[in-house]
Amino acid sequence: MSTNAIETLQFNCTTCPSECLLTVEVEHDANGTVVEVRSVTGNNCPRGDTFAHQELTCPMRVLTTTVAVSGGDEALLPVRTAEAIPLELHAQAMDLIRGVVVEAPIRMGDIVLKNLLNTNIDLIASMDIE
Amino acid sequence: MATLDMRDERAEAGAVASVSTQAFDVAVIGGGPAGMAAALSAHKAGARVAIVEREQHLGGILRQCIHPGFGLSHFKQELTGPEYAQRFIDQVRAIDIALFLNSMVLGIDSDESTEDAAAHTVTLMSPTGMLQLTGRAVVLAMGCRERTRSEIKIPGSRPAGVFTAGLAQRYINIENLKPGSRAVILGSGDIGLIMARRCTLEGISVEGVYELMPYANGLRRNVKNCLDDFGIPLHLSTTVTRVIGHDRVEAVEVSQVDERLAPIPGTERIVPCDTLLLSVGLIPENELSVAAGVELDPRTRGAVVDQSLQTGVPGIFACGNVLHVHDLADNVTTESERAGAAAAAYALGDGAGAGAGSAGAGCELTVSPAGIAGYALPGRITAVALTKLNFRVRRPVDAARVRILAGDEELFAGKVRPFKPSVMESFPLPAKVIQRALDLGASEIVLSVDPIEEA
Repeated sequence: MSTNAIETLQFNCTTCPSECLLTVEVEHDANGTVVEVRSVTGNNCPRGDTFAHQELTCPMRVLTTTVAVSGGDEALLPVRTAEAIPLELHAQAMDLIRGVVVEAPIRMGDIVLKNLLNTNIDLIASMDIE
Repeated sequence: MATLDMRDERAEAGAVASVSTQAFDVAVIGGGPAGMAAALSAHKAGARVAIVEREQHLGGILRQCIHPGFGLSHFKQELTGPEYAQRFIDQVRAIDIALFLNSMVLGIDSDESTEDAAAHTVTLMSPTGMLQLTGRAVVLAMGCRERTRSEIKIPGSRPAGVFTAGLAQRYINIENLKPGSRAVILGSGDIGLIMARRCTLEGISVEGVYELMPYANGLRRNVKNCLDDFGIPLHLSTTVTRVIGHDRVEAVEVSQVDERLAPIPGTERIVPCDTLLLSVGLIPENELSVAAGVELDPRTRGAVVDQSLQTGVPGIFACGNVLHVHDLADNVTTESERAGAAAAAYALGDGAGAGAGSAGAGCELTVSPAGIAGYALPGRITAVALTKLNFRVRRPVDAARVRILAGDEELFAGKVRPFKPSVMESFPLPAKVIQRALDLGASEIVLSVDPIEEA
């Protein structure tokens, strides 16, 4: 217990356009691993508290990029993960997505890659391409 | 969607007098988020509507804004730009709105002497030739353009590899082209921040983002998610003072700047790179508006409008980034729905003077910004009704309040709170405040944002 360090961090909540500035008191162990999020202040709604906890344990982000299209009226299809996936998987996901080619026509919401990197989250089309 | 056969034998003969003409109530120029929202709301109000779009597809700049962050207020969920656009494209295509795609508007002619019928003629070049659309109302929704290197006058050579950030975004996200391998980004506006992340994900290393001002210009979420997530440094009070390279950019020189934004001698540093992306501001694209006789506000570089978003030319309305630069597409949608509804009301109104402007006979107030407010929109109020005022501050402050003044009288004072230049603010001006200004005999309302001294 004595080796644990208490740190106060400040970052913005990105859940909504209010972008509340959160002040978070967090307890790390000797390895720098978060042991406990002790307090979250500055949030105007409960989502800020949830966000701060998630951010300090496993930051999650929606990944957006493009994939090549064959036979369509656009060269690229914009794609997104249907939900946020761990930020630390984004580089690996980009390596995987880079080789994908989809056939037109495509509808917004169509699954481009199922269960991306075993996250249980699909990569889906963001737009129609004829 | 109407499929239009624009083949016209007379047009092929090439005589201007024989250009084929189609009649509408409301002609919308631009098929991005502003144009689509305006067209949908004008159609909903019963108007016959046409959209003219330069590109092959509807959607405008949203098609290349593949990142999330759209729709939080309008759809109550976080969408990417293309998803936000597709929802509107689907609505437009589901109803009877005439689409003129791959079509460039050449000019808008207004015939003020015509009492009924068509007051405005929109001349456009379509793939099948020249065409004229007539309508009592026109909605300007052409969006904005990026400021370029020549507008901020960066010294040095003129090699390839200097791009506006939005152009690089188009290359990467639409055209499947790689603009370079090692980028420096000048300007911390949202597009610059978004491109820092996008380049990194696509294997283009980003050496850093440099910002002239002592604060980041983009939304906080973008600083966090686009720079902090990837360890990309943000250098404040620093700018690019020279571009180096003959055929291709080889490096840029960066320098710190003083409080007056002048480079400090001795702080120069050479940053090797092959690409310089500029995210240094947006300018409403008003070439057509000016040619049509629309008066611009030098502060916004968009049209001077009244509370119904009508410009100084009766029947011509403006909305979205062509009116003033927005930071959220959702706000563009809300504003453009108002413009479309007002345009329809004007077009469908019976006789001259109907629709927008007639509501408050005797009400003619100008609206001016003061304090740290960089602009106030609308610039004119012609009706005693609840009016949405938009403004943006010129610099960030921790504590300031909005005040509404008429002459020496303070009509309203808002609560003290922080303001940031990156956020377009909205303020509901109550009808009774407008009436009070009129009662005082004022011809001008001042929206002042005044910093409060630290106690």
